[in-house]
Amino acid sequence: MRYNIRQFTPSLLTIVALSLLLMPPAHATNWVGNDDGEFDVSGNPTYVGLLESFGGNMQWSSSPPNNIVSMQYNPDYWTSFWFQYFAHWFQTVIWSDQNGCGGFSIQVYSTTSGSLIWRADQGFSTCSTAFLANGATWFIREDMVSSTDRRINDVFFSIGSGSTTSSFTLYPSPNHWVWERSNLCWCGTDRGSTSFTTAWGTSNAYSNVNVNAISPPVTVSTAEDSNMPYDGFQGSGTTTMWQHFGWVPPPPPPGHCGFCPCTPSSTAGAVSVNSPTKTVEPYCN
Amino acid sequence: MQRQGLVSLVLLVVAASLLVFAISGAASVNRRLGATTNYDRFGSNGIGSIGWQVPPNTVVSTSHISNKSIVGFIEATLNVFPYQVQGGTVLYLSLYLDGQLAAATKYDLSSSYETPASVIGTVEKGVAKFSNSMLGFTVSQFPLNTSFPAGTKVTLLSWVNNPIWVQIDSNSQTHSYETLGVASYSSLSSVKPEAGIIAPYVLSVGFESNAV
Repeated sequence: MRYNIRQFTPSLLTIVALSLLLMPPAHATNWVGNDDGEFDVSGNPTYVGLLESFGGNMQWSSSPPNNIVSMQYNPDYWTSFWFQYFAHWFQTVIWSDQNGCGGFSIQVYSTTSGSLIWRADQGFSTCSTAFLANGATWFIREDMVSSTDRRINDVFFSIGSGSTTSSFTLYPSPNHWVWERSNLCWCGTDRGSTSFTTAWGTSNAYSNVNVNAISPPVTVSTAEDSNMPYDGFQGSGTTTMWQHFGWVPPPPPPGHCGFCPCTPSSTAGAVSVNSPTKTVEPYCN
Repeated sequence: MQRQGLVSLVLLVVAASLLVFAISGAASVNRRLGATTNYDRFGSNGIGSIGWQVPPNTVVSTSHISNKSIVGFIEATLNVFPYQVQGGTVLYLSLYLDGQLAAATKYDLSSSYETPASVIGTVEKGVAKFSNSMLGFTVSQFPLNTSFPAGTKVTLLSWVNNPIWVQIDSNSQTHSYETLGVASYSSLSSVKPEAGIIAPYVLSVGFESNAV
């Protein structure tokens, strides 16, 4: 047996060394584009949603290949790899072109082969440039079967501004897929990267149970990217956690309140969670 | 001696697992997942605000011909307006490829929805225009062990025990067929898609498969 161990040892060391060489490199945590922090929940949720509220217009100079942008609700890659049904990756998306025409989508991929397993899509019932303007809301909520069953029963999508709203609830079948910790990406589509020129808003991650902030993942899952910056999460450990995305809009002209409420003491939260290099700059005076 | 053997075995398993993990991880870096807007859809496009009140205990059959090969999976969506849905409403959907059953599912509908649709104008001949809120009920088969060629007839059968408002496709070149007075429903292993009589409207049924 001693002889066997001597035989094994070089082989084992070779395997371990090879493994370390092949390990994917740790990803820098940038809080930009597809590299946003993640949100997880405590306990057993019946829903976990993302609500994006625009405080300024969203515009971009380029978004190859189709000049379309997307709001992606992306599950964590490795959590999906280990724990999702057959290592699938269950992604939900709202996408739009510059005319406010777009759609809602569920796309399921295999993390092992990278291939598309299943998808279902629905176009907006109406197009509106208001979907990209100050005051617009983009909304994806994943609803579970029950508080004791994390399988995703349906996905509620909504995009709106003022009285113009398009809402759609999609019921995937069969509903094998469970909710996993996720993140937001303001991204391009079709493996492209978007260059946003203006954007500003608040992203709320919310649930019926507490939502917790997690630093950006080691492995970014989505192929799409952008230059969209994100601030750190605030309100971690409560049922609604939020962060800002985009760039602080220029101050409004005198006599206008702009994005900020018309109160003399309104300032943005200066406490940053999991984003040590960035803080939310005060923008309301 | 046995203990040393066990340790060696455990070490070997751990190292092998690490290798598999590392290889898959390294491969994933070059195989990122993502959101594509290019997809293979045929049948109705799902856009529209006109709904038809499908009568209860009625099987409605709607077929379309695939314009490309069906590969990987096949999915069908039936759009319903959340308007005056009665409690206890059950919706069955069955999906057929060239008349052979591929998948079936059952939905228990709620009597209340977060964003209910509302009627715009008046209801005439069982048809109404609705505000922008819909429910998309799907039935699908994945993985498909064999691919199906372009030209395959794909059929969705729906049955509901209470009336519901279903989106219709006014531009469709096909027909929906209805069979009235079916008190209970179970999926048959094969069907004739054109059984029954031509329904007054064509249900909006969209199909998706793999565009790659």
